[in-house]
Amino acid sequence: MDLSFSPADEAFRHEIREALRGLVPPDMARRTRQGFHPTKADLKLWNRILNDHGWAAAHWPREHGGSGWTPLQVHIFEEECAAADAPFPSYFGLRLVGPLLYTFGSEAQQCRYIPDILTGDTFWCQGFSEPSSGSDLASVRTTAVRDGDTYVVNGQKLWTTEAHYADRMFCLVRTDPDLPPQKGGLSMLMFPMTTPGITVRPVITIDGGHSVNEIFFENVRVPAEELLGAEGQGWDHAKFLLANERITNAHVPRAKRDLALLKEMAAREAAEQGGGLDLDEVDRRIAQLQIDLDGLEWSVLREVIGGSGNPAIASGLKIIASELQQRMTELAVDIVGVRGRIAYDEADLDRNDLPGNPPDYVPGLAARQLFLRATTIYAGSNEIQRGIIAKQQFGL
Amino acid sequence: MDFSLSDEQAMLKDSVMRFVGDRHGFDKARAHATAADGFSRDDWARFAELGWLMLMIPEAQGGIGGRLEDAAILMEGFGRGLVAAPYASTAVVAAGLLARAGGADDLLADIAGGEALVALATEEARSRYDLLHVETEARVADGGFVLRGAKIVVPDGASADRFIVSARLSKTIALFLLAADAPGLEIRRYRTIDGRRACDLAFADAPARLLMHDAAETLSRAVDEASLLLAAEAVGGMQAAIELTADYLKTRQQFGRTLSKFQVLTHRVADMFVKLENARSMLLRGLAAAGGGSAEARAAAVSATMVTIIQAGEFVCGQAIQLHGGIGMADENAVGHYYKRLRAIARTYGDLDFHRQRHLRLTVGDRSAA
Ligand SMILES: Cc1cc2nc3c(=O)[nH]c(=O)nc-3n(C[C@H](O)[C@H](O)[C@H](O)COP(=O)(O)OP(=O)(O)OC[C@H]3O[C@@H](n4cnc5c(N)ncnc54)[C@H](O)[C@@H]3O)c2cc1C
Repeated sequence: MDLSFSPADEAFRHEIREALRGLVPPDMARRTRQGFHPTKADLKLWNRILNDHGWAAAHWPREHGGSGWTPLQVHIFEEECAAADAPFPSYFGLRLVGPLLYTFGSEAQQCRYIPDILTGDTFWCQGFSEPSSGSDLASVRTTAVRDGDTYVVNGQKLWTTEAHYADRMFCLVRTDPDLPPQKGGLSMLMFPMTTPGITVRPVITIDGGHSVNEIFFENVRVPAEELLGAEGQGWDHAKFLLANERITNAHVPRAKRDLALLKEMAAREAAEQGGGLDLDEVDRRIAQLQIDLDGLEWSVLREVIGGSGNPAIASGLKIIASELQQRMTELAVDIVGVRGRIAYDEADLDRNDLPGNPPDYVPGLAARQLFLRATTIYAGSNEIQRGIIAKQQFGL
Repeated sequence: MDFSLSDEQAMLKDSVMRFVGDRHGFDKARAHATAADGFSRDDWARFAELGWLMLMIPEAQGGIGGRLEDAAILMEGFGRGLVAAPYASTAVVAAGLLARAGGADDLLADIAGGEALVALATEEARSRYDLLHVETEARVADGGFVLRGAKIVVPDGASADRFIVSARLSKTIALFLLAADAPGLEIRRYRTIDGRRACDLAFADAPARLLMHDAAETLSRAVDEASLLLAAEAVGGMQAAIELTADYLKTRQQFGRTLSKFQVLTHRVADMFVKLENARSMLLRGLAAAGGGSAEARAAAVSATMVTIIQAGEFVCGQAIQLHGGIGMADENAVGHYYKRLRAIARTYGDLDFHRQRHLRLTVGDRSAA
């Protein structure tokens, strides 16, 4: 056992920090700090900048365009990116469909899609959930019926994040109505969002933002070569992704950055906004968050470096991380007092007469706190994760 | 002690429940939230017809002379229906202050008739809910007074046509009245997270009428009463959120059965109910303390009520979203709106930390001074 960061790791951190200096355009950094949903333009530009350095998919194996870094180096890299106020790169290509493609995709599919994922020229979205299939993903009803060398897709998806940014969707469909999903009823299809018969409608969330969508498929014709792997493997693909997601969703680097900002914010609020803020109480809450985040970070490191692969551990990380993100933004909103009541309009942020005459850290906080209520719901709700732990770990 | 409603109160409750049930569903609330004022002027006119706007005006000044408990009954109904009308601010707080100040019978009559909306502006950029932290200043000019300074996030401020403003007058805190179109007054109107409208006020020697000098205790009482009304609204909102959630669990199916078959979810609803009922008790306790006793006892009790309400609201409405799953996050679903209203209430006249500190100060005192 060696529980320390090696000098080489520290040197790596230093090197990355230097290389990142000045790389995040200042207005992008400001938007990231403000905490609204990242714009498509920012995601694209940042993806391209990363790719220019060979870092777009730092976490992938080298043979597929990754960095070949150790998991610890990847962690350090992501931490430094977050510290530089870079947006978290678009999730669906780099985190989800990319690994799916290099693990299950055909040679031709890999050649067709992976390069554009790395450059950020193609954005993807994840079409899993439906109105009546959320936690119970196996029950998806969207059908794909084989007709010669195409599939004809009909049905509806819901909550599709960034579908309005996306060029392509990877979509969980029912290819055999008679087989249960675990026995080969589901398949994964990939297709352009411009395919005739697809309608995308925005779903506005309680923060007033637009990040999720409702998608309708009406006789959407998809070439059979767009099937991932073989027909009937969709459930295995979905399980592979959901397991990946639980760990990436821990978002430790971003959480560390948020906590650092929280500390700065508390000090500034106390200094500039008068003595009413109980800094001792805020400090106690920050200390608790710091301790909980340290625990989460070490659990993530244990998992990505040690690799138990135990689904119960991954589910536990998802629970802790989601609750921590919620508590951090709750504290942030509490710190800013009555201004936490104001609904700042993202479109107005450049004005110099913002409501409540706020310090620059205020806009975005309240909306982000509201949106983060979703972290305990998406990527497998926390109730579902607890069920997985009880079952996988103890057979309950 | 008697916890039952009087005949008049039962009628009041019945009529507000009927109003909310028949005329004010969630669709209406959403539509009002997108309208310019953030609430319905038609509803306001109806409130006048029903006599609700004169409920809290003393009989001597042409009103009904109701008690805070009566207004709380209405507020609970408004909370249930997500009614955004400025009832607490105009018909209770402003009407109460104007009645106490005297000499404003015409304005009180306008309030009763639904023709005047009056908002109380106390919060400042650096005051953090402390009513005694007032940087806005009043001084004598041309035989009257002018104000200089600024107020922020005035509850229901965007639609108000008059403001009651706290300002420093020599060494004391005084209350002033001025119209929204007063010279030297600049108003910045905007939305709050609960879809309502607030505003910032900037005074550059704006002429204002002195309502009351040495008003610190009167103001403190008025704001405590306002807090209790928001607490009543919160109770109504929590109750509605719990009912919606229980209904949803009975109908939503996953894994081939209704969600109500998952005990972790039904127990959560049970916990929500337990917190709500505790909050309701604390609302009544607060109302009792507002009815008599010392100013300190009242303030401590109101803070205890608000601590309980704020904690219950976060849990009850947060879990209402959680148990709805994704649909709870959608703007088109009601539960998120209850959550946002509860969070807005939790930072209007004081937040959790403010009320805990105030309670501590009033009940334990300052140990370092002993
Ligand atoms: C902001 C946001 C972004 C999203 N992005 C995407 C996306 O990009 N792509 C995509 O495919 N999906 C996405 N989702 C959907 C998300 O995965 C689902 O919302 C989630 O799986 C829950 O499903 P549901 O909403 O249908 O809720 P339900 O499954 O109906 O759950 C309702 C409640 O019941 C509980 N519950 C359900 N089953 C059980 C059980 N067996 N035991 C105990 N409790 C249970 C849940 O925990 C929840 O509290 C997103 C959702 C949100 C809110």
